[in-house]
Amino acid sequence: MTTNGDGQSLITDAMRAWVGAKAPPLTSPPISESDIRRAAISIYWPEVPPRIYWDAEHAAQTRWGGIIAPEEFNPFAWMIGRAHVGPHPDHLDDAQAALESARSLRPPGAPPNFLFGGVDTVYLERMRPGDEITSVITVTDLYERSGRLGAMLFYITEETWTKQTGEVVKTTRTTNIAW
Amino acid sequence: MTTHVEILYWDDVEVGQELPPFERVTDLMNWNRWAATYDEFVGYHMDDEGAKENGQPAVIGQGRIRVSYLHTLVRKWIGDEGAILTLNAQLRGINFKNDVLTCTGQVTDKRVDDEGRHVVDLEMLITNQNGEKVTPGTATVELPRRG
Repeated sequence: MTTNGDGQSLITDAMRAWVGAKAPPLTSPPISESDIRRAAISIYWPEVPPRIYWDAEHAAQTRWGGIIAPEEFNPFAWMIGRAHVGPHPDHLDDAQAALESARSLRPPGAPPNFLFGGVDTVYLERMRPGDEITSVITVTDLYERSGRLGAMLFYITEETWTKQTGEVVKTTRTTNIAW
Repeated sequence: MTTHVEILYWDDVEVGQELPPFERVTDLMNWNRWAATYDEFVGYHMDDEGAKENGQPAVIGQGRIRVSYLHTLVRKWIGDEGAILTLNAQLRGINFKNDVLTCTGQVTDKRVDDEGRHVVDLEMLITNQNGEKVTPGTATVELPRRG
């Protein structure tokens, strides 16, 4: 086990008990064709994105039968009441702050700084215009390592996105790093 | 109007084959567009001051934009009829403003999976202008058969 440099583990009993914690589910607004087109342009900039993301007639000729969203599309962008927990969260009202904090699943007592460590995703159904996506996130593992930045707390979350039809869009295992 | 559908067939893929590489300069033109559609406005991605509050020397890029670049690498190769089944990306190192990121990949296997799908396994890498391997990854894609 790595330590924080003083021979002490970063991981407390409260953090160990955090494994299994679930965030409140969040459901997106309906995805629109314009949401998809804009996201595709931003991803492919300065190139033109594939037509399956913006040209309905073209997309209809493909295996998809219509416009689909890029796999990594974020349907939770620009929700009313959504704001980010950054260095200055004091502009959030209590209810929003509580939801954002709960959705981050940051372990109690975790070091203050954050890095995104990576993802491991399995894709099942494609997101399409009109879909409403519900996200459920669970903490599945927690460990510590020493690195360039000193002692770092790794916490692993598993997220499942489901459509309004019950079809699963994807499952993602995310590595989150607090240091 | 009928448009041309580009198709990459499983039959035509060879193990060891390289994916067409591409580059992205991670400047504000890229970062801001991506942040605007992904709604990712966090202090350390906005300016040097916000980054220093998070212990970084200067403003840093969104990790998920690199994940997006790996998806782009795959999709540009598989075309409209391929499907990404899995994608793994490991973020290593930090992406600073005006870095030049080169995305590369190659075919590591070609097989029929447990569900009878014709799939291809890929290994991918994002390297910065200093030669640092900042994002290795893997993916599995499903491709159509000829005939």
